[in-house]
Amino acid sequence: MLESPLARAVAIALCLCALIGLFVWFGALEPAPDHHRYAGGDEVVADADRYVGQPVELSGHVVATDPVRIEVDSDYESTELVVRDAPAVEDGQYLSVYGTLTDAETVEAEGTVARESWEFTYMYAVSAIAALWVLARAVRQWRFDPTRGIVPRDEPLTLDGASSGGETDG
Amino acid sequence: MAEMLTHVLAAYACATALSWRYEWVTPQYVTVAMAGAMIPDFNRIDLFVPAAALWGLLGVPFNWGAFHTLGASLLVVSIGALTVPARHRRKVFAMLMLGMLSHHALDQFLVTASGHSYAVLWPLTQYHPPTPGVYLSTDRWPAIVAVFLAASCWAIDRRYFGARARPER
Repeated sequence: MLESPLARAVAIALCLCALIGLFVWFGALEPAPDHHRYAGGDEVVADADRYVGQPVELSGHVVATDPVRIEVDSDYESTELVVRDAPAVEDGQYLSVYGTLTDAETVEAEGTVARESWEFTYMYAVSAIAALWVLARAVRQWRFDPTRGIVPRDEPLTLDGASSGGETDG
Repeated sequence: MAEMLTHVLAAYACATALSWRYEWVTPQYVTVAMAGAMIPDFNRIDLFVPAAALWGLLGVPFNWGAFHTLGASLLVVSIGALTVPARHRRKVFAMLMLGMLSHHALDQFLVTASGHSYAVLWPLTQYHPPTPGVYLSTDRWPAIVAVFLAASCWAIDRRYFGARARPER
């Protein structure tokens, strides 16, 4: 078991390096349709011509309904695609599409999922509440000891700040 | 993802049920499991620190999406376990794993346009397993089911295991 602060710090640093390595590696991955990893919005926005004829899985807000057009965003750019065989959708809804990119501006849909924009607001709001709940529990039940790291509190932290601190043994 | 509340409640329910069998699972360790359930969704950091910005800054590809795979999730669990002293480490590791794995397990049932989920086993493989498509991340009913399950576990815990839970309350 890693006991000393130095050993733990080195281990954490190694894990962080490996983690950053994974973010870079993941960023470099190419679509692999045989593994059901299809080109997505980021790839198509950057270079649609490259993926013509290939299966894609992407999503965007509906900006037109006849024909259905969605606006697909990547971090800094966006592009509009016509969706053939789309379900009945309305402007403002969010449409996820799996299908074939028949040309640089058209996807022929094989599978779709349509959702309202407010549903995402709900999802984010409820997620924020959950995160705050976990944070509150963590702050009440654990504390940071500069010499030992994160340790359980002996007594949960209360609103008036009364706490006997954390572990005092070993 | 299912939204975070469903994941956190599911971890709460699992950990609370485990506490009936394993005395060391106190509310503090239930919290650790709940925190573990949030790990795969750390990819949402992209909303605050866009990967494209880092890509431009560092000059190498970058995608926070790796958080939502087993490889990176496991590294985060390990880092979490390393932040606690050795005497707590195995317990913290176990509960973080419980939470993290429960998150991935639930997410295997999400509805997707392609009928396949995501590269859950990466970096072992890029394979996206098929999903039975039971619910959407934006559905409300999973949270209702999760609240019911969590509340049931809480009630049972209070009613039958209250004495053991007392030291923390």
